[in-house]
Parts: sequence; C-alpha cells; structure tokens
Amino acid sequence: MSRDYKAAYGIDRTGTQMVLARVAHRGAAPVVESFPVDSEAARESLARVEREVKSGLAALSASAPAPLTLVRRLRAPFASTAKAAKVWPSLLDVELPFPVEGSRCAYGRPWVADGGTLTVAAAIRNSDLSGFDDLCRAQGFNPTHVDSEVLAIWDQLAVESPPARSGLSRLLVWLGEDHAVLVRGRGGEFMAAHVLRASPCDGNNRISSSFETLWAARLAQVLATQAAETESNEIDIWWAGPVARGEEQIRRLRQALPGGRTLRHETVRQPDALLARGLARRVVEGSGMNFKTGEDAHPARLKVEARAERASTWALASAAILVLVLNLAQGAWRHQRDAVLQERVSAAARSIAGPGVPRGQESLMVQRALSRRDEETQPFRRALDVEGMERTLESVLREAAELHIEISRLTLSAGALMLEGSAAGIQAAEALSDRLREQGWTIQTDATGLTSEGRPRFILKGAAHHEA
Amino acid sequence: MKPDRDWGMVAIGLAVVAVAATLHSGLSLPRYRETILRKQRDLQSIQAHAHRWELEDEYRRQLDGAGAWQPADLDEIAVRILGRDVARVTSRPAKPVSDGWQVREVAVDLREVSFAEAGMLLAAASETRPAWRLREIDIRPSAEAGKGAMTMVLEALEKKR
Repeated sequence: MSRDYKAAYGIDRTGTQMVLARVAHRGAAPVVESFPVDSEAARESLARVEREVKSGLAALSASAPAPLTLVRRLRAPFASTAKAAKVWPSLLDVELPFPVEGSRCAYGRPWVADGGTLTVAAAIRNSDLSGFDDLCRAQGFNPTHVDSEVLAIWDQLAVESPPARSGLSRLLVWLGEDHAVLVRGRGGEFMAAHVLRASPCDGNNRISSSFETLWAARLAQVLATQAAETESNEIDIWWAGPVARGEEQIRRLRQALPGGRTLRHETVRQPDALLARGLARRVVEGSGMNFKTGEDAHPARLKVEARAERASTWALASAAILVLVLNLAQGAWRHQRDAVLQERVSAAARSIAGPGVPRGQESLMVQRALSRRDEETQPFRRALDVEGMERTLESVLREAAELHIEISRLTLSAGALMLEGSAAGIQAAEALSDRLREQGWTIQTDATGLTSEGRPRFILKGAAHHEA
Repeated sequence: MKPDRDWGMVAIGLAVVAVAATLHSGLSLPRYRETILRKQRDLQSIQAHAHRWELEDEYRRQLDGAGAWQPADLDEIAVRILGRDVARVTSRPAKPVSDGWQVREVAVDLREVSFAEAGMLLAAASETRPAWRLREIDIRPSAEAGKGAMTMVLEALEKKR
C-alpha cells in the first residue's frame, strides 16, 4: 500500500456500535470516537468523513471480516524477494479453500530469513468482497481501503504494546460481537490466526455457554500448537474487542482456559477501538493491505494516487530541470573561466612572441621568441656588461704577472681562453688554474716540456660557465 | 492516464539527462582542473619573462634619446692613444640585430704595444657611446716583457640608416 494519505479514518461497525479512529499524520496518536450505531452523531460523523474522503483529504479504511478472509504465512525456498514475489500466488493457492483466481489477494512486506523469503498473505473471495462493499454502502459509508481484520489488530498490538523480547510467545484474543479471532505469534511476528464463528455473548451480554464450550475446545488446541511451535509454555495473552470491555466476560473465559501453562493476561487499552486504530494507522504508514483495488477501487483513492503520482512526476521533473540548470550554469562558468584565462595567456604570449600565436602553443611560441630575442639583444647586453672581456683580460694578465708566468701566447674570446706560457715551476700554472677556476672558468692544463732555460712550459685552456 | 504516463516518461527522460549531465560534469572535472592549472602555470611562466629585456630596451632608449646612433671613429681613438701607424683598423660587415639596430665589428691589429697601452685603447673605446667593446683578443708577446703584438675584434652598436 502506498503512503499517499496523510490522514485516515479506521471504522469498526458492529451491530450496536460504530468506532471511528482518526490518524492525522504519520506517528500521531489516533483520536477515537465511538457512537451507537444508527445514531445521529454516527450519521453526522460518517457524512463528515465522506466529505473528507471525496476531497481527497483522508482515507477511510474498513476491515474485511475475519470469518471471510484467510491469512497465511508463506515461505519461498530462496532468499530473493523478487523471485519470491513471482511464486506467492501459487504458494497461497495451495493454502486456499477456493481458487486464487476467484479471489482478491494481498501480500505483506516480505523478509528474508534462514535462506528463504517469508511473507504474510491474505485472501478473500471476490464475491465476499463485493458483498462486504455493498454492506458498507448500506450502512452509510464507502471505504477507500479494505484491510485484513486479523493483521490490523495484530499489527496495532505490536505498536501499542511492543513485546518485551522478540521471541516472546503471544496470543491476541479479539472478542467481537459476532465472532472471535485468535491471533498467535512470536514477539511481533505473525504465525497464525484462528476464527471462532460464534458470538461470544448472549442477549444479556454474558458469555454464552455454547461459545464457552467452543472456546475451551479450540483454545486447548491453539495453546498446545503455540507452545509446540514456540517451544515455550509461557504465553502472554492480550484481550481486545468490544466484548473485552467487560471484566466478567474475560474472567469467565480465562477460567475456561486449560491449565499446565504459564499464562499472563493483559487487556488492551480501549479494547473496542483496537481495530479502528490499527486500520487508520496502517493507511497513513502505508503498511496495511487493501483488497479494494482494480475495478473496485474507490474513485477518490484513484484521484489521490493520480495526484500523488503527478506530484512525484513534477517533483522529479523540477529536480531534473534544476540539476540541468545547475549543470548548464557550471558549464558556462567553467567555459567563461577558461576563456578569461586563455585570453590572458594569449595576450601575455603575444606581448613576447608577437601576433598569430596559435591557441595551445603559447609556451612553445614564447620559448622560441625568447631564444630569438635573447640572441638579438645579446649585443646590447654585451654593451651594458660592466665586467666585459676587458676586465677578464686585465684579470688574466694580472694573475699571470703575480705568479711570474711568462706568457708566450694568449687568446681570449667569448667563453674561451687559451694561454701558453712558462713559469719557474709547474705550481705557478696550477695556481693560475685555481685562480681562474675561482672566477668561473673550467680549466685544463697540460705541461708541454721545458724552455731553453729549463722553465716548465704549459698550455692552459679554459671554458667559461656563462657567456654574456 | 495516458497524458500522465507521457509526462511521467518526460520526467524520467529529464532525470536521465540530468544524471548524464551531472556524470559528465563530474567526470570532466579532473581534465578541466588540469587544463586550468596548466594555463595558470603557462601564464605565470610567460609573465615571468615580461621584463626580460628591460635593461636592453632602456639602454636603447637612452642611445636614441642622446642621439648616439653611430659609434666613434676607432681610427681616431687609436691615433690619439697610441700614435700613428700603430693600429690598423679593418671594418667587417655589419650584422643586424633588432629594433632597427645593427652590430659593427672591426678587427684592430696592433704592432708592438705594451699591455698598458692596449688597456688604455680599450678603455677609451669603451667610454664612447655607443661603446666599442672587446670581443676577441690574441696576444703574441714579444721578447720584451709586458709587450707584444695583438689582434683584437671590437664591436659596437649602430642604428641602421
């Protein structure tokens, strides 16, 4: 069931009483009203509810009577909810006393456990559903939802009185005016339901002896089965339903329970309204079932669903358009940023390399322009060089003179030096080499024999690290 | 219902396009960032060279401003410093450089001069504007210490006519 309704009514109409519960929004506590059936207040309330339903403001949920519905726990032998969904109908068909094709079926939210997939399914004959729908209209209301009575009360008990621990054995006894329902489970988990098709009370509102006999017999079986399946002799019994308002009735039925087990008893708060509260809450939370689908669907519900779908469509479209716009804006911003940066790079490149610098080749063109212009402006740098070759020449001649080196040839050019000479000892040549190295020259010295006076001769060749 | 379904398909279509656009935007982000970083690095690198030739350009402006377009007559300087018939100045072809200027080169052959006299000649030549600057020198010392024959190559800037 989808969560298209923010507000919902649950209705429980018996022979004598009509209970209406309203849940205004998810998580809200139900507001319960109770009227004598066929009273003016009941009719006014129904009219009010009908107006809300027609305008799509609220849903109205009734329960298909438990004696007409079948609720079963199904297990598919594979741990895949998608695969299990395909086999639920065939698994349920085996459980039904009537063909699944002639019935309206609903499946609860599945869960995976112990290598399989489980769900709780409910079914009602199409003819019974139509009959119930006609009955509702005759009683003055047209529900948008027809849920399962068994599951609505069991579910609401779990919400209002959560089990103290998950494995706790529980039995919910719903005492209606014309039937009783026994729902058993473990913790909040549904296991099985049993219907006693008899009115618990006689005309004097006392437990009838026939019902008491039926009760004793069935409860013995039900409790035995529950104890065996839960492997526990301790069972929490919750009492609910319109008949459960009477302490005397409950006391009577408790006395008829078989012994030999530890049974703890509690009565649900406002026991007669448990069903109505459950029906309303399950619509708002989207956790319930609805047999009234397809051709039987309530027009107001279809409108609400269509409106919700349109709202989803518009929300999706709006979000998508917003995302697209943001993407476009980001794309435009990126493009703009890139364009501005590219223009700056191009302008900077043009200022060095001149016009006609192809996009993407700015660095390459600039490097070429730098090399070219460095060469072209070299004479200007040489002209500005304070040191210059004049200073180098002066330095070489001074160093040679200080070391008493006799120069026989000196050649100096851009970045290159060649000195042939002789000295008193080869140490002078080495000393000159060292001094020139300190000035940034790479020096290679070769001895070339002796002069006629016996002075060592040498050739010193140098290369400068940098050239002006 | 059909129009609702059509609008639903349109909404789904828009959502698919939006997701695709977002994916594209996300996937292209690293490349975009890389491009921006690269261009920023290029810009920084290019801008670092913006004033690379400022000194040279300023020098050229000073020469233009002073009307110093032709180097001094090196022959005259040599005669003034060393006397007649000591230096032989031979001009070489000018080489263009940039911005309407060219480099003049001359070879100067000196007969027996002292290192000091050669230094004075170079000093006097470099004090002119545009200056004559030494490019190469080849010294062949004579028997007398501190003296020898020399061959020099000097260069100076000259504005093209």
